[in-house]
Amino acid sequence: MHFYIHIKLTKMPTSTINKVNIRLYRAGTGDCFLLQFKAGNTVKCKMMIDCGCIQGARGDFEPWLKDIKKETGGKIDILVVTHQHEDHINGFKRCPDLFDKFTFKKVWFAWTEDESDAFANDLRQNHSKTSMAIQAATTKLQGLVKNKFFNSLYKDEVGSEFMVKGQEHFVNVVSNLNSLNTNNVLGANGKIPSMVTLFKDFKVIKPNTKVEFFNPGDLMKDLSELPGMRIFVLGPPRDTDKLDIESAKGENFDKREKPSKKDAAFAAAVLGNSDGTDLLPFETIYELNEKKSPLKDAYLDAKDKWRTIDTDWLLSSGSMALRYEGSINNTSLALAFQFIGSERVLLFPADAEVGNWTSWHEGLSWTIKINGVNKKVNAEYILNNTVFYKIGHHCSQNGSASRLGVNMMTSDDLTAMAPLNFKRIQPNWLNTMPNDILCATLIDKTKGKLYFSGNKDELMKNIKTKRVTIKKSHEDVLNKLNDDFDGEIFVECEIKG
Amino acid sequence: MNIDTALINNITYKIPWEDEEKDGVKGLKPGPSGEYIEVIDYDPTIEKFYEPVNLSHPYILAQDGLEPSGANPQFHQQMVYAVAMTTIKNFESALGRPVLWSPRRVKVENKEKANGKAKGKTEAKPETKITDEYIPRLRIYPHALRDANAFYSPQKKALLFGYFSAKPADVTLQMPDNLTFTCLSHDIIAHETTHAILDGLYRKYVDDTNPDVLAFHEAFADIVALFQHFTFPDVLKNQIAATRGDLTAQNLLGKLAQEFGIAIGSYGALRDAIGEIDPETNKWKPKVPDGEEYRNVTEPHERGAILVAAIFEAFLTIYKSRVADLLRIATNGSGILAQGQLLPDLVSRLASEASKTAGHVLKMCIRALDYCPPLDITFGDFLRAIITADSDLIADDNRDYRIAFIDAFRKRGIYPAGVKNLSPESLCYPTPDTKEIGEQVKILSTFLREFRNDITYITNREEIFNCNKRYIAGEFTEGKKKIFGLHRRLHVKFKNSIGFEKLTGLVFSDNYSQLGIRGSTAYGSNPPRPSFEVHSLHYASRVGPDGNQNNQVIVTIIQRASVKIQEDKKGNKKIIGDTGKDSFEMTGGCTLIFDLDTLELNYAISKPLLDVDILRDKEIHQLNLGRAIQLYTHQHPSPFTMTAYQAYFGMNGKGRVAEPFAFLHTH
Repeated sequence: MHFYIHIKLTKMPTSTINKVNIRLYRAGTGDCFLLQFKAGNTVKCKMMIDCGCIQGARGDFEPWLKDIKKETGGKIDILVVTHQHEDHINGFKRCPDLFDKFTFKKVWFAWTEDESDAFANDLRQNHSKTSMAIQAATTKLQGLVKNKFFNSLYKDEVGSEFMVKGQEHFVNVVSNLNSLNTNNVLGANGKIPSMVTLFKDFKVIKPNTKVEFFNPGDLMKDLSELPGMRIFVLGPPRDTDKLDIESAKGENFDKREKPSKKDAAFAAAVLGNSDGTDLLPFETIYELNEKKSPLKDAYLDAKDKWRTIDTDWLLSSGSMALRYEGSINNTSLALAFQFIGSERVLLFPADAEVGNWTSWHEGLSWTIKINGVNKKVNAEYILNNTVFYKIGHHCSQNGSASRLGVNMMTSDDLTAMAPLNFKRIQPNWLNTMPNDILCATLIDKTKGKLYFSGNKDELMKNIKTKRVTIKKSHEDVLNKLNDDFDGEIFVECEIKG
Repeated sequence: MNIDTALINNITYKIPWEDEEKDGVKGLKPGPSGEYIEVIDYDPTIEKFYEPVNLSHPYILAQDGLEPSGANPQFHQQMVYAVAMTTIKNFESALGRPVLWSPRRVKVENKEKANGKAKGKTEAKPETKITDEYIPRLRIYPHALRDANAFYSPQKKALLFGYFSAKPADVTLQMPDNLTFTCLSHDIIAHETTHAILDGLYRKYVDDTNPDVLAFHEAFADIVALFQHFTFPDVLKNQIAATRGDLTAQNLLGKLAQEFGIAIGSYGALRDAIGEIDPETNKWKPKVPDGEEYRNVTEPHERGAILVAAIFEAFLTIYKSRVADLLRIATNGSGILAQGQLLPDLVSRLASEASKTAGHVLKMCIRALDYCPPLDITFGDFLRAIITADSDLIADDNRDYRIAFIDAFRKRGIYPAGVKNLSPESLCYPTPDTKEIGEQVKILSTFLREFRNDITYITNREEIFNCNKRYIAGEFTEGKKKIFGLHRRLHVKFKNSIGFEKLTGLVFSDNYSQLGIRGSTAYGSNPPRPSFEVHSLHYASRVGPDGNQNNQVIVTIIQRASVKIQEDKKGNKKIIGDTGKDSFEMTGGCTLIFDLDTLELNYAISKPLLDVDILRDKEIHQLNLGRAIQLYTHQHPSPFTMTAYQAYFGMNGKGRVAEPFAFLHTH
């Protein structure tokens, strides 16, 4: 007699990823993440997202790299580089020799860095002009401060000390904004290179490194490095209007001219480019040149120097620099990693601002298989399933959409990490980071599972304003979680899939 | 800016002939450079001077100036000159005296002894003296910046206009990336010129001491530009003639104001405060005023827009009442017009009424300035000033102009402090109680009559400036008529005068140092007396519609105190005079209006340093806690209310930004 025992074999998913260890390195305000995707106790994929710290020095990064080397043996499967601001990539800049010893199998960029993409090249061209103009203006302004120009201009005025301080403060802020921009140097062909070239110089991209570019709407699944996971690409949008949105208010002046995106007039003047119409507003026949004029004499009269306007036009660089910061932030590669089985999502929007966030909800959809059935999902679905949120743009208000972002994070198992650290931060950011309402909302949603890069007490002081209420029980959780990492160079959490 | 380009073709600006001879040259000099203004066409971005236009040249004179041409910088020079001068002249006719630019305050080495010499200000260190330099001409730089910005610099006494490559909304109308010049916009020029004029009247209105101050500057500049725009009947005729059917004043003129808001864009306060195009009906509809806005909105442009909208609503109400009979006639009582075009006569009459009303409202607003406190202005103060100024000049408000204003303010939640109800009588500033100081007032008024006699015959602006200065600070030069200045007289006459303190809210008593006020040894005072400044003095002569004439002298006084707010465990606050750590400066001031015909004090409009109620009740000297708290709170703003630009570039109460108006106009 033969017995056949039929045993239904359920496929044991021992090789699919079922948890991820997320480590945020902390020396100052900036992003540097090490993600280790695990299947059981085996690390399936080692991923880095950015490596930067505002005003970071080599001494800040060395311990991080040591730690990463220890954890990964220096072999990183995927490096994600989100955007070109210094506080996300200066780690690579400062330590090329150390990174030389690392191997990066794949490096991921947004479509903006793809030198074969005409739209990207156009965008980079425009950005480069703006960036160089800001750099030139900043240099000129710093020169004025150094030469005590304002001291001499205002010397007879009552309250001259205040006026000088006011100008110096302004120049400081523009300098800070300017210091965020990496790409101020022209490449060989007179164009500013994409980050691909930059990262080759950083010894990160080597001949056998695979470089990939992503567009919003892309869906990555069945990646050999990430079994059991899929990745949604949410941004950056391929739309200059969205990229340049600074704030959420609508404009209803359809008749009014707006300054051209190219800011060509200012750039031409500050860079001294004499390429024709951009530079000179009027035909040369109207110029006074060497002719005498009592008005010219009046202007040049030393007695009336206090009324001259030789340097006021450079102050336009202030608003230009601010707009540019927002534009580059909006080029952030925004990714959502999802565990296929549980549909739980890890959201990493880098420094995306409102323009980027809102674009996720405009026409983007992905078709995925849920329980064997094909389903079309959108950004709201992704947000609803988010269980880990890397807080955008260091907890500023612009960095996290509310209605179209945080409000849609409805999971009751949410964890968040805040890459904000007062130890290193630009002084002008102190007014905008952290945003109290944003952080209090997140503390509530995460029930206290919020990790800070910086000193928890310092940051909580700024979060607990009169406008917000935070439950004591949540605060206790928050305190315990953060205290555990006191003195460590990273904060870390594990998210189950 | 299409709207303005269309305008230029239709408008001829009538500017008074400049006839004075200076430096051997008669009339307006090339630039143009004249009595009030010098246009210097220097572009610092490329370090080039442009050929100045000579409007006195017979060729140009004969054809009403240069033909409009965006490409010729001389036309730009002509434009800024013409619009600035129009604005100045409108102001002068409403104010009843010539426009003076704000003087330049400089430090000068003091070679005289501090004692025994007449001085207007006594806070200077013995080595340096502070003096006010006369500024004859406002400078205008038509091509000063490469930015979508234009601003008045209180420090340089100059207007700077920018130009930028524009992305037009409609590429069929304009080349993409074409250069747009802010100096070619009537509205922007008028707006900036008004900033300069207002600064000349009240230079402390750039001190950001409460949320209304800078908002007021923006709003007032918009109001003048807006209503000046409406005083050109041709502009209105086009708009009125283009209407079919519904002649509701609101839609008509509101739409025009809306276009003004669009043209002036981010340079002015207006934007969409007045109304908007309804996306469904595609028709313009007025914005329903929100009583909450005034309480919540703090950004100067948005806040200023509330004031502009209020004034505009008052204007509409008045206009509607003025043309009600016309409309009745034209529509045979139905209010609805027959099909087809409007009769040209009707269009003319409506346009002329609108233009007249605009002129009236503008005059009311400008005249109100004399009835405002010298610092820390609020919208409520301005409303009271409008009502008081109008009541002073026009006894019978038979068209209910004043009610129109009150209503418009009320609907927006703008209520003056300390007023029991919103009737014209309550809002009018009361006649001050001068029982205790009657004699001194009479003597002062007599002195001020001498001032009036001296100044009436002076037409030269510099001499007016100097005469004002003389009567404030005194004149002791050999060979000149000896004058004991107003400052000295107040210093002496109101020594320890509680009556005067109750009136002005400023400190004249011996216990001044406990209140944080510095001492002054001027005029040989020993022991020192409390320091104060006679901020301004001028003579105003106004003629009402009935031919009645007002003869007033207006004196403003300011005083500074160094204070600290202390809080006890229960949260109760107290204010003390203190010069140590955590102390801050609070300024008080008062506008006194003397009637030269009756020799009486008509009004005392005060921003007190003292708590006047306690002074009146118990004759106790205490600093004004309410004002101090408001000042402190305002100067330590929470980051929540800042725009991104403010958050990054603002000074957070640690000092002054370099150029307040450039800063304000940038977003």
